[in-house]
Amino acid sequence: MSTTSGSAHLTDEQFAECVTVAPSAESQLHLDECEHCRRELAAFDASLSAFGTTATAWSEAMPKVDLRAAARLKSRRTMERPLVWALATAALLLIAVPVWKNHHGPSAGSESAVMSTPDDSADQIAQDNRLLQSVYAELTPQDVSPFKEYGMTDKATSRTKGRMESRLQ
Amino acid sequence: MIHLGTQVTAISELDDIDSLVAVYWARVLRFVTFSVGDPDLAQTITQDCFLKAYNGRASFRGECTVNTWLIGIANHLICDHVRLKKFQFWRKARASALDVTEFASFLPSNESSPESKILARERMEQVKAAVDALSVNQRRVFLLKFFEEMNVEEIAEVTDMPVNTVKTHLHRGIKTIRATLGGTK
Repeated sequence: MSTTSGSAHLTDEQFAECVTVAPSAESQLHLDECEHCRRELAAFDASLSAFGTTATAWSEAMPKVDLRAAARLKSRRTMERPLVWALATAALLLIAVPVWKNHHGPSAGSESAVMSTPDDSADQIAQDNRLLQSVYAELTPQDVSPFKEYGMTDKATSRTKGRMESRLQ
Repeated sequence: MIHLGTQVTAISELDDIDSLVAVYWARVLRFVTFSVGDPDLAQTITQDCFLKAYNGRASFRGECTVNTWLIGIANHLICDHVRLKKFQFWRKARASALDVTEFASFLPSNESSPESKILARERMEQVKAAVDALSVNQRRVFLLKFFEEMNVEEIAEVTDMPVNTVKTHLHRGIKTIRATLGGTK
């Protein structure tokens, strides 16, 4: 029996040949004489066979997927994908536009938009009036008027004061 | 040579998704599970394989069996997973590997004595450990040969490898398994 490493048994190449195709004439001659190699070959076949049988039993015990449902789910996901993207884009725009406007300051257009949406509720009018009153109080000169200093009548101031008071009432 | 009748039978077989699953699911799942080592991932790949096969059934020309065709699709899907997510793929596969004890519980109880059963179980676990230790290509070729009983030419077609490369992977795989099972080194 010719062996590559000087051992008296089948080489790896000869062994592989035996399990994948068929023993060559030379290997068959050796197998007829060598019980060790015969046993080894039989054990190898038996082990692989047991492994394959066990793997088959295991895979058959695993739950099978309902492919019709899986296919429906997959196609629904494919159809939903553009909708998800559209919603994501819309959400991004909703966030990005106000941020961008804040960053670039209010434009003339936005001012007119603010002014064109008045809130005419009674509470708002009262609040505006209080604001105007406080503005008026701030603007009212605390120092002595130069008109008074020179004994003159400040007609314009008194007229404005009278108008403001009448508006506040 | 594939006869027209065989081709027609195969195509009509592909039209019925339920019978396709009933006949081939376990075989494809077995191949994918032991190729990737992760049962959860294997379920996903097997499902994708059947959906792909069903949706592309018009492209099946009947040049091979339906099983070989399905295994070929599964093989390409495994390659895609490995290529696209190499790192996460193997990390995940290692994390959720098939439990050898659970797997061994499926060993058919043909053995007569308890000792023989234990011995058979131990040898089966040895084979699994040895198969897991093979390189990706050695394992795929080995499984196609011994699970799917394909010849070298069929394996070469399914894996897109030259015949000589298939032979090399197969011989190296057998050498490793032989050494693990206590054969002559």
